[in-house]
Amino acid sequence: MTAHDETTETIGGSGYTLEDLSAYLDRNRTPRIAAIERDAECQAVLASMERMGRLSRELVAEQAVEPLADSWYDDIMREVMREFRAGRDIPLARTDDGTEIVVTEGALYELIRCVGDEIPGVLISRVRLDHPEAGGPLSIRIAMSVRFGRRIADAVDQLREDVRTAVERQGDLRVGTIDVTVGDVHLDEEEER
Amino acid sequence: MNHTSSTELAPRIDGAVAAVDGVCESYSARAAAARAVERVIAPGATALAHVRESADARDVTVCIGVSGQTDSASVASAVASAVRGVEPDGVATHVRVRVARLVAPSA
Repeated sequence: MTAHDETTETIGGSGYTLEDLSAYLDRNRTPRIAAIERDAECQAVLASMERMGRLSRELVAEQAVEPLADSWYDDIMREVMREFRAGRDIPLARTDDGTEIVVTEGALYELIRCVGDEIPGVLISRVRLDHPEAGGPLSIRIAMSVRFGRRIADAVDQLREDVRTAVERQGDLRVGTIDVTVGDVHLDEEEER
Repeated sequence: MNHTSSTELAPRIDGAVAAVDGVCESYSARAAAARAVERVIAPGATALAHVRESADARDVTVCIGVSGQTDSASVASAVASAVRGVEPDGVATHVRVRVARLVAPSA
């Protein structure tokens, strides 16, 4: 079995790679490509690229002496691409009229990542979801970086609370354990001064 | 009974889904392999909803994005009702609503 090159792997059913999407975003999404615009996984990856792009620009502006390594952005985007694959469908709610309502694992990954990245001083590096049995609670594992000077215990508590609230807002979903690993500490403007 | 074909029905379902309050985006509900074929044969020309007819039943699958700030199950339930309201022709219809994105609110 040969090693898989994720930069050449296409996303969803679009036929486009991570690099293609990056170029598409750079072109301001013109000319419009229907296969990308109609594909949920592509849209999730593009949204994440936009978020990460904003974040990178902010950090570069704040840490002018030491610009971010290209590998930082690439590593995160490869992780995002892995996470945002649609994956399994998880039942959200049941009805008696033959309606089936499901949420994709990819949607939950995107939600958790967005919730985490919105917390001041927190950067999400990896998310893993386990849904061992139908109807049972989700187990969530998150790896993150915390801004230097931010109290780690507070950041972790807030992340756990916000993620649980966001996920449990979705139909019948329930969250069991949320394991958080703080694997890195980063600097920002306040610490540079 | 006046029977509507799946190719006529799917674009009307797309319109009904997009009109539901809380639906941020709609995506192709076809499987990835089917989308790959579609990309080559008729890019962007087909409807987003996937409608499959059998002898006496109809399966409809739609794929949506919902704000992460709302209960996606409620929105999806309203979507299912909207889908059923498009063509109440008496054909037994199984509706599958797939929430493919929980979209962050616009900054």
